[in-house]
Amino acid sequence: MNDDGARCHRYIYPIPNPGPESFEKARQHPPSNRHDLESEQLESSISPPFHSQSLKSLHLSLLLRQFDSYSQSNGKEASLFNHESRIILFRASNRAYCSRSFTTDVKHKIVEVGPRDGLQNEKQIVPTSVKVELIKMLVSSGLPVVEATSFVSPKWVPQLADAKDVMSAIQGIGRSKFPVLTPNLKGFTAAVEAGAKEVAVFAAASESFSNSNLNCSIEDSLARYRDVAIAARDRAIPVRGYVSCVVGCPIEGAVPPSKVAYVVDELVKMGCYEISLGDTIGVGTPGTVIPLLEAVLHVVPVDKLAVHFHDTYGQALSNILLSLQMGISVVDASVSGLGGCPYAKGATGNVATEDVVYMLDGLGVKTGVDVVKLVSAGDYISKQLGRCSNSKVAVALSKKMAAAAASKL
Amino acid sequence: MSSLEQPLGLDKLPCLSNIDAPFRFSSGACRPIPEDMGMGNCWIEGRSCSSSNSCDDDFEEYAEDPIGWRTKMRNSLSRSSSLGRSCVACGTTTNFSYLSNYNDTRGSKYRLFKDIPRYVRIVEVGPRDGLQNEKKIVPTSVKVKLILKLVSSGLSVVEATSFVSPKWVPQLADAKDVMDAVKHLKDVRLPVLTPNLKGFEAAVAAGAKEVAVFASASESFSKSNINCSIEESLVRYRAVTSAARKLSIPVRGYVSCIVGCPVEGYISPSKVAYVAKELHDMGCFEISLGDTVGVATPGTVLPMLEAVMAVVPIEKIAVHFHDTYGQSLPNILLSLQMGISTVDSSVSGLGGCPYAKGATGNVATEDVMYMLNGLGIKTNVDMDKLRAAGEYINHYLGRASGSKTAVALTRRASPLPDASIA
Repeated sequence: MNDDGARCHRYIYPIPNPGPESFEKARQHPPSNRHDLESEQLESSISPPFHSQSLKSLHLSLLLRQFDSYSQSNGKEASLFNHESRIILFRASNRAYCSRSFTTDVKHKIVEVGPRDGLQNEKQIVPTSVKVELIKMLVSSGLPVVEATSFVSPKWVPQLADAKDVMSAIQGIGRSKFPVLTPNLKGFTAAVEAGAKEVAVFAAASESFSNSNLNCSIEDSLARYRDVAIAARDRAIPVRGYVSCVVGCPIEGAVPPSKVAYVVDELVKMGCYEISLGDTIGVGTPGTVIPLLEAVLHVVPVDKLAVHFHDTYGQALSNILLSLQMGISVVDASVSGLGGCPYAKGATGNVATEDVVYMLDGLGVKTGVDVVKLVSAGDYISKQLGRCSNSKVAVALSKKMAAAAASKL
Repeated sequence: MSSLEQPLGLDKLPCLSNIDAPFRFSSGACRPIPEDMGMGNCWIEGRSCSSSNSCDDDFEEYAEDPIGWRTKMRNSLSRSSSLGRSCVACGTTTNFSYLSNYNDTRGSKYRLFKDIPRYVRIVEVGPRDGLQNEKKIVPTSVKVKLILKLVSSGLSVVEATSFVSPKWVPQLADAKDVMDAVKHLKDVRLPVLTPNLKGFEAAVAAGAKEVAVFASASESFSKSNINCSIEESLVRYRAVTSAARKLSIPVRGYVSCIVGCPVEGYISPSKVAYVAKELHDMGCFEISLGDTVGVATPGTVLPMLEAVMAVVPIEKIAVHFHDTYGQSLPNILLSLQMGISTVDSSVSGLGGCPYAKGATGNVATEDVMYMLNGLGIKTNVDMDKLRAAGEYINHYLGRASGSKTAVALTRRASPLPDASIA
């Protein structure tokens, strides 16, 4: 067997033309238990937080059902599976390539940050009614969490000066959660008065960025957030933590993963239920994301982590794919890619939710989000802002949807 | 579209590392030594690597451990057994002695990047695949200058032009003139598209030293795009390849619509494997798998690549993803994880998608380079010169770059804003 043969055969079972009998064989002979045990032991010694749910007997019927329901609910191009590729996919899922920490039982969550993180970077002040309409459309597309606004001083973020009005307008819409940013106890109090049921705090992994962005050191910001966390705990209000500059800082350059792990640890210790790791300037690539995640996974279980990649260098989706492979199941994104990068004028910032949902759908991940409704929400806000969507999926699908609508007339 | 395929991931069979080691090197491409993923410096830096990245450079040795967590990991693992996962290195080099302590710390990153190549060849298709989709006719001199700039950035393969009938592709009617101007260039391969024997003969007469043929995995797309069925196109290409063999001219094969077709919808992986195998058997030295409408996601790329890798050796497979739905970089990452080491891309993302007006097409070479640099994969391409080539052609075409990396790198000089942004 030459090199080529070895490499090729690593990826498939030895029978080159799949037929029902090879499929049966594959199902009856999952990878050896001994190796699984070794892997599990190794994994638990390296990183206890990895999910230990096993992938074996991933319920082929479940797989097939999901394929079917997905393809039925999508257009022609999206319905991609016939019997043959199901076999190939099952074989693939039954051997080494699959993530042990990623199963279809885990429901992945998309946290929509467009109305806050997206809009706050837009120069043009958006009226409250437009913000509320956007939030309503996002909720109706199925997004489980929509970051509504921020209770920071209007002096710093004039776009979100109407935080109170937005909050009162969205009370009781749908079943989504609406976290709001609260930089300190004062903001927290205002948020609670306005009806907020979940808050978020925002630390930096880089000292210089913390000083320039929050006007205080990392330790000072953590002290402030401890106050917020205590007050939140008294009211049973969950707190989400953000860490910015997890890969690189516009001032300092590279940020060591150990620093990020430290800040994450502090946020978890003070009571944050989830920590979102933000690649603020978008410089992360899969090569830098792995050590970052490994460092953080030493201090916090994977189910408490979210990733918030920026698409400034076009790397967000591949970073997200990698994070999924490492077991992360919460992804932050912004509809229509709202929110540029303040550090590279004209460059993009947040990754577009439509693009993320497209990829997750392609992987069979359950997000509960309807891409078509999401694209409509993105179109709405893009029109209001008078510019094109930053989402490639939205651009590609909009043209198609318009053509389809025109042909029906 | 979907797949329920689990994302590539954590390899759960650690014993494979012992089997794989001897097979890791193949001719014509660098393969990773088990301990050396070549990513050390990039992982520390957190930024893209230096713009010059030659395969000849030695990797730096990490004498210190600037990152505390690595020491912590090593310490915690030294207590546990190696669990039979001996780190058999094949051909260890002394440069990476620090990595021998890494045996057990490879963990997930090892499993996720076990097969990732150490060197990736980028095939630049901008001058042909990119420009042919541009409405504005670009003068020969501009095309030639673009090719020269691309070659000077270190790209080793630049698809120069296409010898198809000018009636079909007016943009490339000046194929002969372009070839005249560039055929003397050294240390670079300049393949040209040849749809049939007539085009092949014209290409050879014009001085081409490498040609490419273009089949489709979708019957409908084949008929609408090249006006013949898949089988008929393969017959034509057999004529081209046998003529090319007599002249010792290598032939590259393309397969389009590897995941989805604008007419038929889903394309089964076995069909793609069939066409790829036919092209390979007729003598193509490399098969480039093209996601023509950009609908592929990692979930659909996996089964397709598996099917093709069963019939074509992996080092002969290249991937050509379109960024119409923004999915090309994750698809490329997945292909790298599966061991593919040749990637097609187009400088500045030249070339829209003809099937979704206004949508993007080819993936931008700069963005691919940024990711490869971040992974520590060598490409021999200079990012600054590449960007300059992109700026040149965008300036001529009067439009913004299609590459996010190029935009960001160009504008990175902006100072920090005053207002704090929480």
